[in-house]
Amino acid sequence: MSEKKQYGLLCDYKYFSGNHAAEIATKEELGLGPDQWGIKEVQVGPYKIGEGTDGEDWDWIYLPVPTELFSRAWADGGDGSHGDRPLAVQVEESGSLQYGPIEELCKKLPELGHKAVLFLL
Amino acid sequence: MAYDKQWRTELPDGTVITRSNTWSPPGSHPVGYGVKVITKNGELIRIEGDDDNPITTGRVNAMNLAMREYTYHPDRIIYPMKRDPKDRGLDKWERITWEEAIDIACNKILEMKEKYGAESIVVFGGTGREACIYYYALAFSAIGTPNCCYTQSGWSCYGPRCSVTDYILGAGYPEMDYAGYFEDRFDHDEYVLPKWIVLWGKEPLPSNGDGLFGHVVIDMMKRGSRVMSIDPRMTWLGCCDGNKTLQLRPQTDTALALGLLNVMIEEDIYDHDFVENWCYGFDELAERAAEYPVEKVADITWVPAEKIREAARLLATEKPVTWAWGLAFDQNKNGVQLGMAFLALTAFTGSIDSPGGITLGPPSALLGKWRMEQRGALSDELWAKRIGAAEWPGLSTGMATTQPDETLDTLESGQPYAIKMGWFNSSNFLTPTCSAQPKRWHDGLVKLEYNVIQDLFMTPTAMAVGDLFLPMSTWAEHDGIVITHYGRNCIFMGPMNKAVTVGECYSDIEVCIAIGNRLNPDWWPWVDENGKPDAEAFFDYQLQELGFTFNDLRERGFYQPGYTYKKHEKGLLRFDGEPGFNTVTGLVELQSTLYEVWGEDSLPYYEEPNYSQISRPQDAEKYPFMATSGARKYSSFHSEHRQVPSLRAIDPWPVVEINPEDAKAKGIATGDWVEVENMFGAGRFQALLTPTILKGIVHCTHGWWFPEQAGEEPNLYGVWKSNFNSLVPHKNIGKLGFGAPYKGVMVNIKRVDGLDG
Repeated sequence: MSEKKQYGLLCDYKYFSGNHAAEIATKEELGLGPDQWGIKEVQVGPYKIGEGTDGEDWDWIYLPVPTELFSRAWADGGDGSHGDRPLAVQVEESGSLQYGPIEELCKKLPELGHKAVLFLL
Repeated sequence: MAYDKQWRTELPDGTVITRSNTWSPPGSHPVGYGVKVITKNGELIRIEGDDDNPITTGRVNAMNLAMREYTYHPDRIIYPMKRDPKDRGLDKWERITWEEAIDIACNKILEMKEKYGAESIVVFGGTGREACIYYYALAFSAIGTPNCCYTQSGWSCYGPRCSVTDYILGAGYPEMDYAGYFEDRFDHDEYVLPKWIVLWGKEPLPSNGDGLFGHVVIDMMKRGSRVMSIDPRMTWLGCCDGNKTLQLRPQTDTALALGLLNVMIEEDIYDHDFVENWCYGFDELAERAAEYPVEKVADITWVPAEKIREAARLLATEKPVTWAWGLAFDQNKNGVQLGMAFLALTAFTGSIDSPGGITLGPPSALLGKWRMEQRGALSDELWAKRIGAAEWPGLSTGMATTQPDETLDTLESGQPYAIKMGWFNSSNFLTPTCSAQPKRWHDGLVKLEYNVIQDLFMTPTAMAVGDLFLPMSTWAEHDGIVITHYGRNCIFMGPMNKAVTVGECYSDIEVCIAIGNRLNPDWWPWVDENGKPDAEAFFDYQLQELGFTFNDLRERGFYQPGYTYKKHEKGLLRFDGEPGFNTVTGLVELQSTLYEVWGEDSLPYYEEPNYSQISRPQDAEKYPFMATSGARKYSSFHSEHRQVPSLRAIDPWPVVEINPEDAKAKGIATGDWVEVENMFGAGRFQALLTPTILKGIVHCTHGWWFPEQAGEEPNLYGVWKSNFNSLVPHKNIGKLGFGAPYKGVMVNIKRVDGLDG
């Protein structure tokens, strides 16, 4: 019997724009109420780290944090009732989320070559 | 899961998947997110993305994902209702049938025409909604009035940019080139990725203006494009590595544009080939631009001189450059001049109709052309009665509507004739969405003899003035066509496919057909054998010129017409087939041949906003801040979505952004309630301290009302409490009748105890 694969969520957060689509998508997909989340965005900044108005002078980051409710649905690849990937990964507007077996995502992480985070679900 | 590419699939368990494209209601501009609407047993289960859509590629925004909450919200109106006009402002509505509703509406129209003339009826239309295509037709050829009104002072949304482009370039809306025309998108062999994307007064990620899917900017950044943001606020895009921002004082954009032009001329780095062969009035523009040396422009705009020089050099030398212009061009009394200078910059950088530059469409096409043709149903005598048309030819030549400020004057004065009936086509403009001085509008509208509302929820506007309420269907509940830029630059078309039925709601086109077929059947023949509106027959008619039916479009799923670059070289822009542009001179008019006739300077110039500390030093101490407004949120489209729980949780309250130094001086902390006030009005907002806004500037969110509050008069769901448009003056507009200072009025701020009290 083969060992169950572990799945992860990769976020290319150089481009993740904080558009809330992933939040609403997971609520719809998992049937969550107003106080529960499948993915919740967190915001860091904006604050200045330089003197001017170039991008390099500022820090302003959004990260989509997958919750326990999300892990329960997707940590082992899902049970097929919601398709083969989380709705959030499809609809997120900046196209910055990837979902898959953790070994595959580990290979993709360095290929991005910039700010990224891999969540083990 | 077997889905294939058919437009509707039913799975063995009874789940139905309907491929569609979103527009409105609820609004999201004609972006046309490609979606699959999942239903079961006739109920909407959820919205998913459509991976096959070549532009949105499966992505969907938060508002459309929340459609289930919106669709089945207990407050939604899903049956026609009437109310005795003496009960306006009271929740005394009575359910009626559609037959009775159409009878009442048509009888009232005929009564008004008989008693006062057709011009006594005004159709008010909202912004960005699908209704933008239809409310002109409803006015002109269905109801038969020349008065179709978008109430924003100075018509300050989209119309000014379109009119300026029509006069200067002889074309439809210029849009940034994101390869949307091509099925193979960025891989298309003629396409060149822009080195720079200029976002001027535009934050496209949440706004998705006019058919532009804003996140294409990120798609292009991932491929190597950089963003030059010109904005009073540092945006998230502007804060991304590699991008740059010119952070300017609100409403000083025209000075900046002239300064950039001047640097390009002085340093001789503009595109000589394009300017010498295809532009009119270069010498005159150069002379005018010379009046705006960089140091002077830096003083006016607060943008450091070196940043202006750097930007001019980068944009003139690192090609191609694509340009996206935003609402800040319209919501500015000096915006017509800004539009001229902006188009000159696109010419100077060789961007016009070139790969990776800006694309041009005809002034109107397809549904957009049909919309404009509807005025043909009116006699010349009646057309001449259009409110403000004679007084504002610079506006009425480009726009088929009334002049909005003049419409309020007429409403109040009864001159040159009295308005007696209003028809509100998905426009909730007592809420701070478009009209300036909304209390004046309210007081005028409640005096009208009869008002008809088309909407989905009981809005403050509907509660205050409505007598008949026609419930509207969402985009998931009706057939329709998404056409970008309302036909002024048709980058793609997509079908909206009815997937679910709720109550007895009609679409905008179904209301038009129901009224039009009764009152003017020659122009509105599209009914079925039972006399009911037949929207599919209407869309078949609209698509005839493309050689397919509505069902063909459904099965095709998406239509991209392809694109020919450099049409001016090929004789494809002018009606006579000659090379050049479709303007009076046949060239891009850096100096306008039309403006002087209308009493306007033929060249761009800078004018200080009239309600600033510089223009009104006597008020500077009392109102030391400049307030801008209207930056978009992911959680709402203007006044829509406030009652949707998951979206309201994202942005629960109206917000004023304040620089931390200013806030400290005023004793204000994040989360405090703040009153923003000036000589015209006041509103309350929750403070957000942020370094992204300059000292001396504040920004207020728009579109606020509180559906959870008492709806009856005088509270009207709290519509006056956070109403930024109360602070915007009436008729402080440019010489052509365009542009008002929604994004730049002087104010003061003070901490208060709460939203009320």
